[in-house]
Amino acid sequence: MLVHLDSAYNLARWLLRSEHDAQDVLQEACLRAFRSFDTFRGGDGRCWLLAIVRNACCSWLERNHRDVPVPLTEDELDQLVSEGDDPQGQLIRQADVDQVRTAIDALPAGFREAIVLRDLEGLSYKEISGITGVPIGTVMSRLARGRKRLEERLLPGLLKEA
Amino acid sequence: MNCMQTRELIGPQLDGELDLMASLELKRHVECCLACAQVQERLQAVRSAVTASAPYYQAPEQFGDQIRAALRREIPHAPAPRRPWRTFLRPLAVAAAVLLVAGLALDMALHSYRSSSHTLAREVVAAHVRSLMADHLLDVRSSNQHTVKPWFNGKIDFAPEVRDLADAGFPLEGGRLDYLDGHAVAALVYRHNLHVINCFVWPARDAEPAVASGAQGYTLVRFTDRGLTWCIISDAAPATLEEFTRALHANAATTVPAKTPN
Repeated sequence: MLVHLDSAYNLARWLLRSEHDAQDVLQEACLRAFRSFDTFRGGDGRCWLLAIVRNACCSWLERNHRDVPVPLTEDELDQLVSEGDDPQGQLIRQADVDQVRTAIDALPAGFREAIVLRDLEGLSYKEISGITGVPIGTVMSRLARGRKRLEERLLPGLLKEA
Repeated sequence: MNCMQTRELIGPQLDGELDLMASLELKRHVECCLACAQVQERLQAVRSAVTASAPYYQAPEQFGDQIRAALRREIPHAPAPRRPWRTFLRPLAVAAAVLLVAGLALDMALHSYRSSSHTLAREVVAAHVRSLMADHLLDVRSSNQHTVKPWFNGKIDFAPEVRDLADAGFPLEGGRLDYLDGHAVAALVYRHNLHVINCFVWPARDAEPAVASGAQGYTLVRFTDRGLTWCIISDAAPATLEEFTRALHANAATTVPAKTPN
């Protein structure tokens, strides 16, 4: 189960938009997953764990209304910029990462979750539909609408580079 | 495929969720529709920005340790496996369900094969078999596309694209003249290991949707590209033929088609 800890952490971190809350909720979710291991019906362990984590995050969000993402912690900032780059390269990379990250953070949770599972986790529409409990058609339209919003927000910058 | 259908499929195509036939149709539309090509380009740009720059948050090390410690404390309370007969019966039930579904699918496939006429498919299979049987596979034997393509001049009234695909594992063997569906057609011959791949090409009557089918153990792929119908047949595995069709298209894409808004 812990081989999928990074996937679970990434999803919780994106859904809750806070390092602290992600760790709290994920620890709870891991314990719950462990206790209900006998409900595991075989198949992909990662998807099974992600579904549990996703549900835990959703109920946390229902209980705690927070509209603004919590800023990154120092540790997170260090982790996101690779060490090999020269200082100038690091700054440019940091700017790119910030821009894309804030754009995704600004999306509604349903769109954000679809994009994180598809583009960062590399899951298929069918797997995403299984994790989020919505039909494949809904997954497709959430992805399309989420990407449309990202395009509106990011593309002026992207076109300038090209 | 119109612009509205195309735009709905651009995302799934970039995500690799579209089957070969639908992606061929999409590609054909995008090649001649500037507006859809731009939509595709922008979506591609957004997707690469996300995959390249969106952070993948990794669980901090001490957090992993914390979880492991919490789980270890759980172990004494771990529930004992209940009802072992269930774990024994479940695979059986799954196997039975799989057999049932497979049986139904086979039945439906056979039924649809028998009920539709498949005249053209049968003719293509016959032409393929004949070309191998009567030792009349090639009229012009060459792996050079500049030898094979001009050979057809004056024999047929269209000029099919001829390309050597040796790099992709499908060397060009040559070509010959054949007769299908009431007219002369160009047959391009490729080889993949010991499998012969016959590509029959003739002018399209109207744009047909791309199809893949199987008959008598052969795999057939048919699609229309720039006014020509291509019918590809081989005894190679369907996946190999898919790969071949992709190689054919990847190569064709290097020539830039004139774009007109649709």
